[in-house]
Amino acid sequence: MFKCRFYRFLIRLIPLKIVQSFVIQHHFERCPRCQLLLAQPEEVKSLLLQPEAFVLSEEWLEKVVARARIEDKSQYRSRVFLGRSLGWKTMVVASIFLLLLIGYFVFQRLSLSPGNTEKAGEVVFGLEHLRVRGKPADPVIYRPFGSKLIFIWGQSHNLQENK
Amino acid sequence: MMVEMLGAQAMSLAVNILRNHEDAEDACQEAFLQAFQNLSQFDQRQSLKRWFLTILYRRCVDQLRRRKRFYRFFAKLKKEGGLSHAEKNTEFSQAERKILTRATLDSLPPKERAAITLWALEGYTAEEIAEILGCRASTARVYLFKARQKIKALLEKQHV
Repeated sequence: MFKCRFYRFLIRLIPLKIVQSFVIQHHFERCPRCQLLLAQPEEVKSLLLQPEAFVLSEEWLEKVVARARIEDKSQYRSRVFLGRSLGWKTMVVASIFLLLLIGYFVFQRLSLSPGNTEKAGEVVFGLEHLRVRGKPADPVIYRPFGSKLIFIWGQSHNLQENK
Repeated sequence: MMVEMLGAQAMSLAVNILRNHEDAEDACQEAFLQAFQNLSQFDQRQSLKRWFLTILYRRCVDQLRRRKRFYRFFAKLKKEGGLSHAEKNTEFSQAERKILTRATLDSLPPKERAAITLWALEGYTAEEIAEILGCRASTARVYLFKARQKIKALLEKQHV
């Protein structure tokens, strides 16, 4: 009795179908006490419409045959899937896949943008020394963001002193 | 002929799942057509009846989906006031009456209804039911158990 209660509690507690199936197989299908809590085939049969209740008329049979003749195989295939039609789960998985794909392409594009190629491509040039009118000068290098132009400004020490 | 051989069983299963005669007829017709057109794909080692019932179950699921859309459409019309008062009383109540034929089995989800119908009428095991429903045997066993439990509880309630 305690065992039965325990299994009934367990099946409610754990909603995993594998666990529930195991409990059903190993207890409920064998326990005569628990079987009393389940509907028997005769009880269920009395609620169901049985095949004997259906007498298929000639008209119904003709309808099926006529439909089979009318509907072209290719047309029919496009309308009805052989397997199950696409469910919401498939749609969700497909959407996630699509988003990942878009994300991947966007990421790739961003990584190829000019700012990033510069980072990847190390230093483009080097300036060893700068002279203005034959005399050493201080360089100021400026490159506007997103542009390929580089401005080099040379400032002579002598000119500064003259000022 | 396949229709004569399996027709009554097919209708019985479809009506018990869909709880509606017209929808069941449509599902059966579609299932027979599909079976004829894909007969070449049938594996002779398999049971023809089970193969056909698998197709029929899928068509029943399609019918249930269509019905859901129909429900939503009518619910929307009702909400937006798209139906006149007279129409509401005639068409909507007819549609409702047709679909909402309440019985003990109606309270079960379609998968449980299908499982219990196959078990009680065809005497199929959980493994065979799983093949038709397209799920694992463990899942079919749980559907069957829950359906039997609910029916028993409802029957006892009715007797009390």
